[in-house]
Amino acid sequence: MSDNFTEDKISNSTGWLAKKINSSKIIWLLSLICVFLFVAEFFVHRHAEMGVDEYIGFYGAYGLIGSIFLVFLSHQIRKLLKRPEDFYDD
Amino acid sequence: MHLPALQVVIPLIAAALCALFRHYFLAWFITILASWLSFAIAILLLLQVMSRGVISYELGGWVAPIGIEYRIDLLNAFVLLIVSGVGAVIVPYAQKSISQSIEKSQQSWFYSMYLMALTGLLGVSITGDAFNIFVFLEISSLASYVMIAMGPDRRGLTAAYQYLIMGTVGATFIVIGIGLLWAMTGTLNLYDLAQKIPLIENSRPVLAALAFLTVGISLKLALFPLHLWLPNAYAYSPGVASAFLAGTATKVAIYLLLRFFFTVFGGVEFFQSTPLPEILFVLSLLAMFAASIVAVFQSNIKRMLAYSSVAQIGFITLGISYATEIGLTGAIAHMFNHAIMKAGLFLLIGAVMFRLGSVKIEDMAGIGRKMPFTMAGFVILGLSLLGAPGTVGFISKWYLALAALQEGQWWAVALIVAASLVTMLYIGRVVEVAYFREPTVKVDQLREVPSSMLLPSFLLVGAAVYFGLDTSLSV
Amino acid sequence: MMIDIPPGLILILGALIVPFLKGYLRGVFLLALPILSSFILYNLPDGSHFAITAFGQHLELLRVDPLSRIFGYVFLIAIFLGIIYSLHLRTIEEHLSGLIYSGAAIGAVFAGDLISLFVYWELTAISSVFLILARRTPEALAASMRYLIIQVGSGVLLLAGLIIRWNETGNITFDHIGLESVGGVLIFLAFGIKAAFPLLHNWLQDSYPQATPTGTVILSAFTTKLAIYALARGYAGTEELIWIGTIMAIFPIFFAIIENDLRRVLAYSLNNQLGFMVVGIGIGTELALNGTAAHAFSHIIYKALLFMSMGAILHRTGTVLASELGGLYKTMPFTSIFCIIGAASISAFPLFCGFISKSMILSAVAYEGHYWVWILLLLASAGVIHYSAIKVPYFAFFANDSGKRPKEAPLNMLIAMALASILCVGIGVWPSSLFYILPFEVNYIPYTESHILSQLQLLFFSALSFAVLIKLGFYPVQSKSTIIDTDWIYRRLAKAVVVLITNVALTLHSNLFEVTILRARRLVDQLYKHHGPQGILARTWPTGSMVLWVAIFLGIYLLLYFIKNI
Repeated sequence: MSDNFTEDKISNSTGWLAKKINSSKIIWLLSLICVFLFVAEFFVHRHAEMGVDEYIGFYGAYGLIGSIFLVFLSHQIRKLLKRPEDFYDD
Repeated sequence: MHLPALQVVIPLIAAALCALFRHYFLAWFITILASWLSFAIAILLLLQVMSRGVISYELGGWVAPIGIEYRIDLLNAFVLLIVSGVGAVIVPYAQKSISQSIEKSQQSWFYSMYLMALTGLLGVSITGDAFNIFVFLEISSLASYVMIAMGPDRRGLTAAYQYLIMGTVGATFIVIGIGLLWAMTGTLNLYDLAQKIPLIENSRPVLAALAFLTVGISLKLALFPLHLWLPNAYAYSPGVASAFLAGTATKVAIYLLLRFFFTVFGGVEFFQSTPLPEILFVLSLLAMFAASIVAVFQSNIKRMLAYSSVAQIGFITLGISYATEIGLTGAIAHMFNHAIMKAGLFLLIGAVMFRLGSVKIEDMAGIGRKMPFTMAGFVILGLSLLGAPGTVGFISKWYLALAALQEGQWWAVALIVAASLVTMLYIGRVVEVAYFREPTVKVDQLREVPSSMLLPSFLLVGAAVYFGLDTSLSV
Repeated sequence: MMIDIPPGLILILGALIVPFLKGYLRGVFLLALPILSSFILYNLPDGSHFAITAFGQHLELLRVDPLSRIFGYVFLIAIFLGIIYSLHLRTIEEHLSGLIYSGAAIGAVFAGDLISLFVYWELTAISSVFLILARRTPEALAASMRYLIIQVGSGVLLLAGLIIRWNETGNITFDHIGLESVGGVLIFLAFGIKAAFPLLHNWLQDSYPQATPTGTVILSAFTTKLAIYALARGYAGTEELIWIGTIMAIFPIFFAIIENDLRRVLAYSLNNQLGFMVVGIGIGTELALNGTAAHAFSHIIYKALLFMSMGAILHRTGTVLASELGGLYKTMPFTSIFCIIGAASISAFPLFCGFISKSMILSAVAYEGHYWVWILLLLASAGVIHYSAIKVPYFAFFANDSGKRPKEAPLNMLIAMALASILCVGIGVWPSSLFYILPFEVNYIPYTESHILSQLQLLFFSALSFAVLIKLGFYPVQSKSTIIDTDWIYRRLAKAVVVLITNVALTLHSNLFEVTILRARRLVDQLYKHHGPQGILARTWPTGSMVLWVAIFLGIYLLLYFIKNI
């Protein structure tokens, strides 16, 4: 497989994303966008489809809480289902 | 139109011509002309019957029931087509194959005998006269004995001898049966008999006649366990003869069974009032399994195919034993399909014999690589034999399964499937040897057979696939 | 005028010619087949074109209507992309199997009756298994056999169902079937296996990640979407499907979050997207069915795109384990961009194709007032961001640098990915192009301010949570491991049960095995004795005994006929 790799001309520094400062930047950027989207809701005419979504910020809150909930549950499930890599090999 | 008479007369005259000229090539040429002509006539007759209904032809202008009547309905037009079709396809093949296994001086005799057999089988199928049936049956049988005896293997002689004895016993039984019927009714015309028998059908002589006919025909069609003559007869005869007999002789016997039970003896109700359906059912199942399992253990591939024939006949008679429309459709379709498949298989094995000089399965190691077309054809027909979808074998087994379902016999469906699986075992065995073993030194030097042998075989292979997809003809 | 050749048949027959072609000619020929086939399909008017009569039944081999047409088109697009993606291969087995497989799937879509559907159904199973086998690893071999057994099993269920249905109704046309009869339930199960219903799903995650890089791309398009088509045709409006679909949309998320093999992550997300479609079928309104067809259409393209990007990584580095990758964007920039486009599509980002189709299904759910289903599907949409849209590109191309510096993907792979990306964006920007071929007339406007805003909120808040969880180190660490799924039942439990039973049996009767083997051997011996070459049934009998048999039979028949008469 070695011919599949190019000469490592780029400095072998760790990735841009991996740097602490940069990852913090991304979180700040995302938060900013989220705040903007939240504020925008006051200016956009919303028509609710199901009732519950007429509350301001429903989608954002649901997305945030829902996905944290999913990850949390996954942790529990993982404890239950994780096996060594060679589990099925005999 | 004198087509019905020509159907029989052409091969008969050709047979005489072959014997007269005694030149191997000329004889072959006459044979090919005659066989294709009769095939063409059979097609014309079938078309006529399809468009205009039953054809009745009075031989020599004598009115039935006194004169001999040739009477063609859909069933025997179909049988005529099978017999003449198989007959026509194998003649082009025969030239190369026969020139190798039979001496030049004898070849014209072979062709002559072949034409006689063809005459006999066509005659049995076409005639509407009971005694005429016996006569033609004997003509075809006698000719077959000679053909088998001409085989390259000396065991062919004993096989022919046994076939002779058994065939004669069968024919005698049939003639006794016919005689009894004649004594009781005073007529030999099948359709006249059909009118008169219901009035006296429970009298002892008629029942005795029925018993003789049943056993005689069972013997001819090699219904288990009266099949014992068949394996050797097919195994040791020349390749062409095996193909011809396997494709036609037993089919004509099945036709006789259908004709006697369903036309002469008053049809389905009478059939079901006798114990015959039950007997036929049990014997068919026995044939399907016992003969298939025997086939698995055979080392001679021609014998294997012969036993497989016995098993396949079991499938056909199984359909008959239901005596329902679907069952009979399945049986007749399987009769047609089996004729195509078995004739094709025997031709292909004849091709192997032509090159390899042996039909032992072990000797065929790796032959799939050296004779790719031959073995590919074998595989396709083998698939058809075990009933793979897309081939003819599937259609008829489908109908047989439906017939069993109609009777609510789920377990019989399971048995049909199981028997097909056994088929897979013996076909698979050949495939395994032919494709997955290293070629032996002998096999390594082989070439594919000439196209004059390949083409006829592939006509049948093609038919097996074509009729598997387009079922309008056989159904 | 074109002749009415079934479009699927062109691919299947064309595949038979492929082995005789070499080099460029083969490539050109391969690409020409789907193009020719699309052209024919385009020119086919709606209606039944290629009917034959077999088995005493009227078989419609080519029934074209709007529902089958859209699946036909997208299948042709998928195989076209798949062929471009695999053009670098020198072996032909994947091309052959891909062509026959796609041809069979297209044939199945245009089958107007259950018998032809069954034939094509089995053909897809048998032809596709070579895409897995071509990987040539022992795991792939084992997985392909499990795959084959389950797929063929689905076909057998279908056959059983259709026979029973035929007996019940005497009708085998493939139209609405419903769950009212036994036959209908069996066919439903057969479709359900292929559609990877919950608990019947595991063949998908088991086998797709084991296939070759190109094989997975092709596999991902056909089998499950064929099942979606079949369900839409036979079971539209079946209430049970709504809940089945909802469960399907939710439960794979957990597996996808914790799974390490990125192609398996995609397989789970495939399962989750199918859930949306199944819900749409269950709702069964025109909008819902339109949404299902549209979602299947866009799903095939973006899922193929995602699998293509992962395939490119597998092709270059030999692995797609999240724990082994990272930082690849440096040397595979194009692949990274294409992967992100696929991710944006699957997460239904506005201006990408997923947005259009998923919105239609969600709106259909809302209009019919299925409150809890709607809430759960929304949760599933949020989840998609996590495990599929961010996780896959993040761990493959960014995350911690793995030090791997593979070359950019081969040109043909890039072209295939570029085309798929163009389609994803094109449909997202001009949804009317997709609406044009949907089965029913469309009165749906995807781009409203309110809708865009809600979707963006959902997406960005989920993305924020991902970033925060990663930052806090709370996201499940990707490490080499096996996550067990229902395959545990047949790969472990069944084995354990067999072993247990055997042990019990052995302790009860220590030489049970010997006895069994002895019995089996005796049975074969017995068979051989009677059926072998020298056996009683196969021996060449003396003529006298043959005649004896004849006499016995004559006697029996005479007796029986006479008895009947008494």
